[in-house]
Amino acid sequence: MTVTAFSYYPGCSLHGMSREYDASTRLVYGALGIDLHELAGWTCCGASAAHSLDPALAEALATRNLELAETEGDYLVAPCAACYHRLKVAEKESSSRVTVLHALDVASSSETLGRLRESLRRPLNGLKVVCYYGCLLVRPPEVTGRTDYEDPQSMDQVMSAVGAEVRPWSFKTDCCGAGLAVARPDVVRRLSSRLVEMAREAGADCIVTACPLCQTNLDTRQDGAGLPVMYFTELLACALGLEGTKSWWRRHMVNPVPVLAKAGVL
Amino acid sequence: MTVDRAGSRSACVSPADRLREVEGLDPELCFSCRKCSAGCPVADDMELAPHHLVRLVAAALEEEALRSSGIWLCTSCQTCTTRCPNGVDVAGVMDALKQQAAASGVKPRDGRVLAFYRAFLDEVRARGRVHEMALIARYSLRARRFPRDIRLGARMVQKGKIPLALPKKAATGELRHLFERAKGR
Repeated sequence: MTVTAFSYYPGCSLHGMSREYDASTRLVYGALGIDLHELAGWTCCGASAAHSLDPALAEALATRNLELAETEGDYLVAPCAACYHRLKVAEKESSSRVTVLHALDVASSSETLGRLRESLRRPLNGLKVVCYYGCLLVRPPEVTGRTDYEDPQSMDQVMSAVGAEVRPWSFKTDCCGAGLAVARPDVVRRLSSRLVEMAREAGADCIVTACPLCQTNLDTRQDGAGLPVMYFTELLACALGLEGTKSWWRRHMVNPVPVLAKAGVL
Repeated sequence: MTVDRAGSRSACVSPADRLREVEGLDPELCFSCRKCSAGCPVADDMELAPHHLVRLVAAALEEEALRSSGIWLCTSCQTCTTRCPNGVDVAGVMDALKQQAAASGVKPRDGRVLAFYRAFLDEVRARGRVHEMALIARYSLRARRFPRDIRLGARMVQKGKIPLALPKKAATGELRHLFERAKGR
């Protein structure tokens, strides 16, 4: 992909509880020469609430954003897996001429991987990670167009490119409980705790995510000595030696600083 | 089973009919291999697992499925849909059941998730974008209870993870029309 300018759909969470995902995405893509232009007048994609209660509303809410994007260009990038999924469904249903991409799609293109390697200032050598993709980034393949949906590789490639040791594990695409966090925290706690436990068993120092809901569910449901849960863009910012990462860490429930310091990337 | 083409999107058409007509998928293709339930992250919490629910819909016995609290536990993770060897969109069946239960006023045994979804859409309609604090307030009113993890919420606010300041509204006039139009379809 030689495109270097994209319309950008942050989604509600990236303006709310996942502001560090928004900040790190803008910072890293900017440093790599990729221009993200926030879609003017974007509104909520409808998320699980809309498609669970009203299919016509779900389609209309997502399609409205695609129509805005059509006036700006050919691609719309969403860093939230849930937004990406809803917009991707609308892209198929409305035969939109806009192609919806997840932020990882841009990061894992061969051009971007090359640029990441060239711009590497502080390789994440010694940092053991597991890549957690969650559900909606990869499933179902009819929507996402992915062939490696049971064992996705894009985040693994990105993290390997910046020197991290990517540990194998079998829970890359198991569900964290997603939008049940408020109404059924008991279910989310059970699902997320198991993921953290399995990540620890896989020998990881931290979990890398590409979705605000995944990050929040895994980060907020831990007791005792926790395992940090970071956005892939936060780690890329560290690896590229970019300034301005400090304010992100204190908003994490499990402090990532000790792990990053130990790996020598802060 | 007769299919009402004109009203295929309305709530009075059964989920099985709607799936066949609108989604082009047929729950009757299910041969009970139970792969959907085996991969379902919340099957253990459901009194009726996904394969049971699909069979009920295929047999036009969805009344029982509509009352099941299990449909509201579905996280829409799409594992069932992805793994079904016969191409049944199991997550789509779940959505169709949720939609019909909500539209027909069937009171779920546990109304928390439905209250959350309704609060979420209220928030989208009012603000265009979702503000987490406002969403929690709307949910508490609709569910008539505080979220159980209120202490965690307080810590998230204290750490600055959840912002308190309300953001600017976005395109709310346009969204009001969009909500009205969707209701009429």
